[in-house]
Amino acid sequence: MARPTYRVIVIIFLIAFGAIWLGYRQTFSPPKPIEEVFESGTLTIGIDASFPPFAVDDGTSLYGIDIDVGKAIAEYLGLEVRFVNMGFDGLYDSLLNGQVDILISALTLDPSKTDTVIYTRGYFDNGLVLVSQQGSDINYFRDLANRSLALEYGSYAHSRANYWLRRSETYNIRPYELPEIALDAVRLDEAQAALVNTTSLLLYQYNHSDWDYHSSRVNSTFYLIAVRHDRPDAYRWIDHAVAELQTAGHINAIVQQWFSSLAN
Amino acid sequence: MKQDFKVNNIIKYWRWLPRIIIVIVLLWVIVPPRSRIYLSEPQQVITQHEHICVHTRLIDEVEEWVIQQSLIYTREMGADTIVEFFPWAYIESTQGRYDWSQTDKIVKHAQNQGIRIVARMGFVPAWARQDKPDDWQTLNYLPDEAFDTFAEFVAIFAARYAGTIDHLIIWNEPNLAFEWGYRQISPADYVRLLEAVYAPTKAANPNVQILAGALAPTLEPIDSSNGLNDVIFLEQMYEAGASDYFDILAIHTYGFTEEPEAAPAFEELNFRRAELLREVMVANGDSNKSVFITESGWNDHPRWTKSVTPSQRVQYTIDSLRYAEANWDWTEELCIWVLRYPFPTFSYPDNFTLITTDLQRKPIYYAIQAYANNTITEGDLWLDPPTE
Repeated sequence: MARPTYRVIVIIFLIAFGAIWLGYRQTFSPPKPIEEVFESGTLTIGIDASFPPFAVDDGTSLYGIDIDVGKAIAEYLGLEVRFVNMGFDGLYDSLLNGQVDILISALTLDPSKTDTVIYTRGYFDNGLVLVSQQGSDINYFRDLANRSLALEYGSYAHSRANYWLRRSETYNIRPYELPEIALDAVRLDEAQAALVNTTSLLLYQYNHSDWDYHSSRVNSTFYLIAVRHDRPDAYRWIDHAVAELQTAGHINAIVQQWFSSLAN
Repeated sequence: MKQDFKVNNIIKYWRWLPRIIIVIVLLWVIVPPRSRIYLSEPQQVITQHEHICVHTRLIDEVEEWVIQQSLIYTREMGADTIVEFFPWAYIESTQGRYDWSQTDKIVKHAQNQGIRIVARMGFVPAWARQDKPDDWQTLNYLPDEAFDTFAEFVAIFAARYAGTIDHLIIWNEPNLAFEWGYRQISPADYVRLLEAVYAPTKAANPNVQILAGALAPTLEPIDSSNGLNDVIFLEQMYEAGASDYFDILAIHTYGFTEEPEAAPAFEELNFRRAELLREVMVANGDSNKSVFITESGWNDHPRWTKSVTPSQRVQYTIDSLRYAEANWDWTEELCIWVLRYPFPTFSYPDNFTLITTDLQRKPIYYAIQAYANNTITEGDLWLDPPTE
């Protein structure tokens, strides 16, 4: 009786060890050399250049945060860079069809694409922020009880505010036509707080640099880079580049530069 | 001895009884619950303007109650027609096996709300694309040899929903490279697809109306790899004999940053560009055919380069409905893109919607509703800007 049990244990151990080893190899072994992953020596990036400050086409050139992030990644990897400008609807098809290597186009994670696409870590967080006058104690939705909250009518911020209204003490929603008007309402004391996305706040901040405000992040909505899921080595190189550029502060510098220059 | 054997056998088999009961109970528990969505009495759309239509995105919606609620909102807005996508790849993902569950749900609730459906046909299942491991194709790729297979599917669809869905749009925006599966853009190839579909679909449902075109408004020149100017594409469709293979022209016309009355021009993208396509129809002897505008509208994202403000969007949309009704007697339907997305994009496409993903109605929704009823929206739905 002892021998078969021993054999079973050994077989289970070998299978488990093999699985762990394969997983480890898959996860931690270095990716293929960059020259093999991008054989042409060029990183081809799909982009929808109609969305400032991330990407704009002025008829002669492309510029914006996504353009500079793409250039920085290519430079870090020692590749040439080429941008293919297209409409939003065609982005994922161009990636799946091999027209481009990656997409950098202010994209957030789309659950319906995750069977064919892998997303890198985020390079920009466009999550919602609660904005109030400097010195305010408003940091969370619960702090809004019996106060007024300005926001853009029909926006994602409006949806979130309605959601929290069902879960916390009453606050008064003040809907405005545009996010900058909602921020005006706080700055001019017509509302105690505004709920806007990070891009709206950063643009507003540079246009009203004398305004001293207090902000608190409510959630995260990361802009990510999309890579085909059957190109894991490409994914690992791109994700690695994003991580290194973030650590070195390059991506943050690009973001700050474009918000300050485009706000006016 | 024989008696003992019988008793032992009975005991032996009775021991299985509790196990069988447990299995039955487990199976009972894991069976999906029956739908708790109940249909109301059959409804009717009340509208003063029968050309109001909206493009929906219900096929990807998981929750049946959301499909129902979206269609209730459509009826209450005063739209008596919707355009909805019915992808071949979803319905016949395995060759010869059809899953009609989602399409049946949409049809059932649209009928219940008194709403007519215009069906958009497209998206190719993997088995018909003949993908190779290292040579992926997109859902829009339809190889030549699959034209007849697609036509068979369209005919089966037409037969199944005859009397309920009698308007079928064949493909979407074939003048864009990605919508044509990155095959060489070719009006003649698209006409061959129409030809393949036309006769079998008419045989399956003699009352069906075949809608062609649904061309993307674009200025791409003839040598572009991205697409082809819609006016040129339509002219070349007629040169290839398209007239015999469609009954109604589907047109996409967006206003972008221009007001709806802005004059059309070959090198301009605006709402009245539809008139240029109509001129091509008339020039080719198709003035007796009507037009369905199956996509139209304005976008009000704060930062998209082709958007307008929310108040402009409301004004332009209502003005475009008025303009079409007053000036385009050849247009039967004007469908606004888009009622709602099943999940947000967190980017500017969300600002084409009339209703948010979580079913909050936007000011544009109420404005169209007021127009449909010949009433005035009561007050502004957003507050006036604060003064400095």
